[in-house]
Amino acid sequence: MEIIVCIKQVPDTEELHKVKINSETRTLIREGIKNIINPFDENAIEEALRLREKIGGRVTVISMGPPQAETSLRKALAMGVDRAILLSDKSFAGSDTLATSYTLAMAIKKLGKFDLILSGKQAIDGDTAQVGPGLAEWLNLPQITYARKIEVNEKKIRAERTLEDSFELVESPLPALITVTKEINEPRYPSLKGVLRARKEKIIIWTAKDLKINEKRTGLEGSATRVIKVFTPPSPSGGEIISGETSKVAENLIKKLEEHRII
Amino acid sequence: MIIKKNKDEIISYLEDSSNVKGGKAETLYVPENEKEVLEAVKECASKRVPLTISAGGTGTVGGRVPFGGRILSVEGLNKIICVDEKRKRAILQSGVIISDFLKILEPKNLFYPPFPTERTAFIGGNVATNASGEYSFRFGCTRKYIRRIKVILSTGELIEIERGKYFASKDGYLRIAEKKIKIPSYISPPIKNSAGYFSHPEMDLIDLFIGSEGTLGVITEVEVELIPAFSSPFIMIIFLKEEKILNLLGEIKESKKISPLCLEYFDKHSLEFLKEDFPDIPEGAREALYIEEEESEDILEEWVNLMESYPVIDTWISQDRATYERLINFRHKLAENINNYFRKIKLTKVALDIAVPENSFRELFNFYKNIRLNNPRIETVLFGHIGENHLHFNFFPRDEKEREEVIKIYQEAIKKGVKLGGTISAEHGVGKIKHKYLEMMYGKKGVMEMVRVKKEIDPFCIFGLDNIFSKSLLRS
Repeated sequence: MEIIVCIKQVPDTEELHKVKINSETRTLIREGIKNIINPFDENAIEEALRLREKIGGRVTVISMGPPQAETSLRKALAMGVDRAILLSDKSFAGSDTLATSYTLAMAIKKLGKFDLILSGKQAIDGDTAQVGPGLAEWLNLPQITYARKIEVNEKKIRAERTLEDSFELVESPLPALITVTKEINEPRYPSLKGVLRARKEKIIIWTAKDLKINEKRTGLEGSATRVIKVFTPPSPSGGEIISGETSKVAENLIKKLEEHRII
Repeated sequence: MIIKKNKDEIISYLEDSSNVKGGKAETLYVPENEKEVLEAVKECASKRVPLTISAGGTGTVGGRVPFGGRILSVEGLNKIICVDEKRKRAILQSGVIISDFLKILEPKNLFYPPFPTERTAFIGGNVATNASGEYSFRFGCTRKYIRRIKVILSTGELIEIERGKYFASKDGYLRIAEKKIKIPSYISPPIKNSAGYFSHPEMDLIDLFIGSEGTLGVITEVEVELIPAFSSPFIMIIFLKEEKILNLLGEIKESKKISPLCLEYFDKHSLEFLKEDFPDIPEGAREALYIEEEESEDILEEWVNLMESYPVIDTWISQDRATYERLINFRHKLAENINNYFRKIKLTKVALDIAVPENSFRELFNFYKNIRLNNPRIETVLFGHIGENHLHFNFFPRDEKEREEVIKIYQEAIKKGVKLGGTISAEHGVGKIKHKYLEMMYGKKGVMEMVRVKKEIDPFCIFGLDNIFSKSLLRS
C-alpha cells in the first residue's frame, strides 16, 4: 500500500507567544522560533506506520515549507517513514490554504500512484482545517475528515468520523484522503536506529520547477485569502490587588464581587 | 524581621517530603538579612532553645521537621548577589530557590551542575545536605561546586570559609575562630555519600559544613562554581528483554566516545509502575536504562555499537522539546507513583539508599536479587542511579508481620553495604530517621566523634536537634 502523509512544521506551542507578524505581507515571521511537527500530523504519521506494519507498503511524507522544515521531515524519518520530500521554493512563500493544497496536489501527482493520503485534522498555528479537504478537491478524491479510527481492507477504507456528541461510520473506496484527530493513536518515540538513519538519509527537495506548476496558483499570488489587518488585542488593564490579613482580604473580596453583581 | 507565633502560619514548616510526624514549634523566624539571623540565633542561644533551620522542605528524612523549640526559615535570604560570567561563579543568599537561579543562568549560558530534581529546593538546603541531582553521574554532587560559605554559629560569630584556605592539620585538628577541633577518625567513603559529617585526613574546613544537615550553624551565603551551559540533551530509553544490565553498564563506562549525563536503571517492577503513564512499554521488557546526553552522530553511532550484542527490544528517543518532556516523566513519574502506592497501602516507605564503590557494585546488585529470590512474597521495586552504583530498593510490606520481615532484610542489606565499603545514605541524608544505620556505618565511636564535633562548634546545642544523631547523645 502506497501511503502519503502531508505534514506541516509549526511553531512549538511553548514558543507561540514569540511569533511576530510581518506587517507588510501580514504573514507569520517564523525565523528564530523552535518548531515541531504539527501534533495532529504526528498522529497521521503514526497511523500510516501502523497500516504499513499491518499490511505492508511504503510511507512517504511530504511537507511544504522553508528549508528549516527539514528538521520535521527528519523526525518523521526517525519515526520510521520510508522517504521524505520537502517542497521548498521562494515562490511558495505566503501561500494560503488554497495555494498550499494546490502545490501539495502537484507534488502528489508527480509521485504517481498511491492508495491513501493522511494528514492531521488541522494545524495548530492557523487552525483552518482546510488544506486536507482542499487537497482532496484538487486531486478529485473522496475525503473523510476528523477520523478517530480507521480500518483498511482490500480497496476500501472505513473510518469513525468524530462529531460533536457522537461519531459517524463512513466507508469510502480507495484512494482517499483522511484527516485524523488526536484520539486515533499515541505517536511512537523515534528509535535509536531510526534517529541515526534519519540523520544520514537524503531529503528529497522539489522546487516550483520540479513540480511544473503554474506559479500564478501558488504563493501569495495564488492565494485567494486577503488579510486586511492583523493585530494583537490589547491586554486588559485595570485590576486590583487586595492585600492584608487573610480574613479581611476574603471579606473585602466578597464585598467587591457582590458590588459587581458577580455573586 | 517577621516573627510568627500563630499555629496556622507555622504548620507548613512542621513537615517536609518525608513522612516524619510529630513536628512542633512555638515560633518561626523569617530573617531578611544576616543581622536578623544573628539576632534570632543569639536569642535562642541565650535561652538554650532548640532552633531548627528550614529551607525548601524537599528533604526526605525530616531534616527540617522541628521537635520543639523554634524555626528559622531562610526563605527571606533570597537574593542572587551576583553572577560573575567571566569567572563562572555566583554568590547567592541561602534562601535562593534553585529554579529561580537556573532561570537567571539560562540566558547567560551558564549551568549549576548539582541540578537537583526538586527545583523548589533552596541553595542553602543543597549545601546542608550535599544534594545530588539529575546529572550527578557526570558532574558529581553539590560539594564539588561550593567555593565559599558564610555561616552563623550559635556563639554569635559570623564566619566565612573559602575552599582551599583552612585545612585540618596533620594531627587532625581544624581551627574555627579561636577553637581547635579534632576531626572524626573515620574516613568518609570516596563515593556519593550524604551520611554524617564528612571527614578525611587534612580535610578542608568547608567540607565539614557541607552535608552537616543544619546541625552546626546557619548558612547565610554561598558562592558556587558554574559550568558553561551545554546543548540541550536528548533522552534515550533502552529496553532489554534479558537481565544484562551490568555487562552493558560496564561497556558504557569504558567507552571513551560517550559521556552520559545520567544512567538510570528500572527493573521489571518499576516498569509495571510506569505502564499506566507509558502503555507502550514493550511486552517482555525485563529491564530498562534511561540516559541523557548531548546529541551528535558519533555519540548515536557509539550507542548503536554498544547495544549490538545486547538483547534490546526497543529504544525510545526524544527528538524535540515535546517528546523530551514526555520522556523525562519516565524518570520523574516513577518515584511519584511509588509514593502514591505507599500512601494507598497506608504504610511508611521502607527504602534503601545504599551506594557502594565501583568494584563492589556487582556483589550488591546480586545480593539484592537474592533477597528477591529468597522472599518471593514480598513486593519490591529496584531502580535508580545505577551509573553511580546507587540504587533505590523499595519494599512494600502488606501487613505488620511482613513489615517486620522487611526490617530484618533491610538491616541485613545495610550491613552488606557497609561491609562493601559503601554508605547507608548516598543522597537522602540521615535526618531524623537513619540514626541507627549511621551507627552501623561508623560504629558507636564514629557517631560519638560527630557528637563531639557538634558540641564544640555548637556548645549551646541549639541547631538541628535530632538530625544525624539523637539529641540524647548530646547530654553525655
